[in-house]
Amino acid sequence: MTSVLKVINPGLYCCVQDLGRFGQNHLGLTTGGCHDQYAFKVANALVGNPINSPALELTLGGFRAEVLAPITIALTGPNVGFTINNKSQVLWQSIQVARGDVIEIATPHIGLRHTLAISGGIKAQSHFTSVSTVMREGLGCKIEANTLIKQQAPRFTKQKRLPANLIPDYCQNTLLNMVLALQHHEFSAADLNRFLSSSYTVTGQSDRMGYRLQGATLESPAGARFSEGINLGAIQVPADGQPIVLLNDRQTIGGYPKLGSVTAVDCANLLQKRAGDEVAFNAISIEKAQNLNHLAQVKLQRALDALKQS
Amino acid sequence: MSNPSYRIFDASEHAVLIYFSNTISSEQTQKLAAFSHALKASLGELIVDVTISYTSALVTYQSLSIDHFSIKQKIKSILSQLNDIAFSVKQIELPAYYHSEVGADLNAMAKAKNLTVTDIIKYHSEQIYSVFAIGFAPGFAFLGEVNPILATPRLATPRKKVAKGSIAIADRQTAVYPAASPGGWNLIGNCPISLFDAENTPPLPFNIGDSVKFIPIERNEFIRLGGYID
Repeated sequence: MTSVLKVINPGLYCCVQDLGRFGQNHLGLTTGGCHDQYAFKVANALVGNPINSPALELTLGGFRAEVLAPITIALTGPNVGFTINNKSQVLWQSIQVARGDVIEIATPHIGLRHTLAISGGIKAQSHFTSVSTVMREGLGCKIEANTLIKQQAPRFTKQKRLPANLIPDYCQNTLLNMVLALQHHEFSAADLNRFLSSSYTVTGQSDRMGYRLQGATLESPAGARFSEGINLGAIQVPADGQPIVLLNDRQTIGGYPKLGSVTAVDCANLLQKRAGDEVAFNAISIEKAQNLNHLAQVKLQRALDALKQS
Repeated sequence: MSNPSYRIFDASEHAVLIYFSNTISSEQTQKLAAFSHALKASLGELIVDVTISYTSALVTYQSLSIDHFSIKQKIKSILSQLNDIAFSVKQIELPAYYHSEVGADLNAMAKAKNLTVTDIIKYHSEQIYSVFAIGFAPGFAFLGEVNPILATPRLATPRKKVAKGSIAIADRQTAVYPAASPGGWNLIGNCPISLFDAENTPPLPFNIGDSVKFIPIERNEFIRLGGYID
């Protein structure tokens, strides 16, 4: 297949993602996968791809690439300066680009991660059913300067644009829904209250593996325990009493006590936070968390339907 | 018969954690492996992933397709039939070159325990280990339990780089580093066989619940099998 993009500047961390590497925990392999299913699936739908097609994930913008062959692209995520040949462009819509065009994405003022989809999907080596990049495991593909991006197959699509009411508001997601679960009964009631009534600051030691937070110190329940499987969103409290939320690239097992889990939907919101941002936690029931997940699915389906008709 | 010792907890809105007991044993690890197998076979696409580790199984499920009450009911039903499920495990043998040139902590460990290197090799290689968990890194298997005579705490300061194939001890567990990585376990030897290979089917020679035995080999054999001395 021909190369369609030449990356000039990949930004802080640019990698290939799909929906994730599922069913491989028994080998010690984590899930990985796109930081935000809504943004990822909509980006693919905008360029006419199946929703699990490999796309680029950008971190803190700063991305620049030259187009080598005509394709359609779509950028989704928080608002950011986005130009083609220095001409300003809009996110959440498909854009035809031609050979020689230069795509530029600036540093966002709010938010951290973007999805850049190309028509036909990115050609990438699949391992264990997924192309998802997890650097720690040596799987996938990190994009460096001069990396040539290949297309899986040519695909032509009509111009599409997501209705404005279906574009997420990235300014309003500092309150993260979570469920009290796992070893929460081993924490004191006072500490659980402190956790739920405090705001926490995202530290610089935060990435796709986990977000280390700083704020009210909690007493981590003592005692040796066997390592156990770690789910997406698990909030672990090591001996220093500062919570860590485990995310897409988390280690598969671990032994720190956990007081509950951020919902999968809000893990995507947390992954948009950067060092210095503040978050707080809202405890909800499992039933409500499952309802919210269904509502998120309904919203996604509305977006996919709208793009199918346009 | 249902076993009253199973404890089932919600871990999140899409995951359930099941504790089989508070202690580890090879029989229980085999039971956990049988459970994982039965769950995947019986519930198919409702199950996203099953992570077994020591005493527990984390079940990640499709929460768009089944709610947490129903998945727990189905899990309980499978647990109640678990004693009737036949599950076979295999024993695999791994060649092990025990020497200070590939095991930087071997001599110090012998000295600290007032043992000879030959004693350490004997104690480490005569045991049949169970694969209790796989994690930390792809293919990194936590094997147990090590003879208490050899139990040694992790290094105070982890090494920046441990060579691929390194055989190591931490407390009453042993492992083979499947790839070069940082690590804080005590190094006693090296296994020349590549354990984790993404291009191979299967990528790992063992599963959780299987048994592993180390077979001591000489330097010549180590080199012949592809072993590498830094």
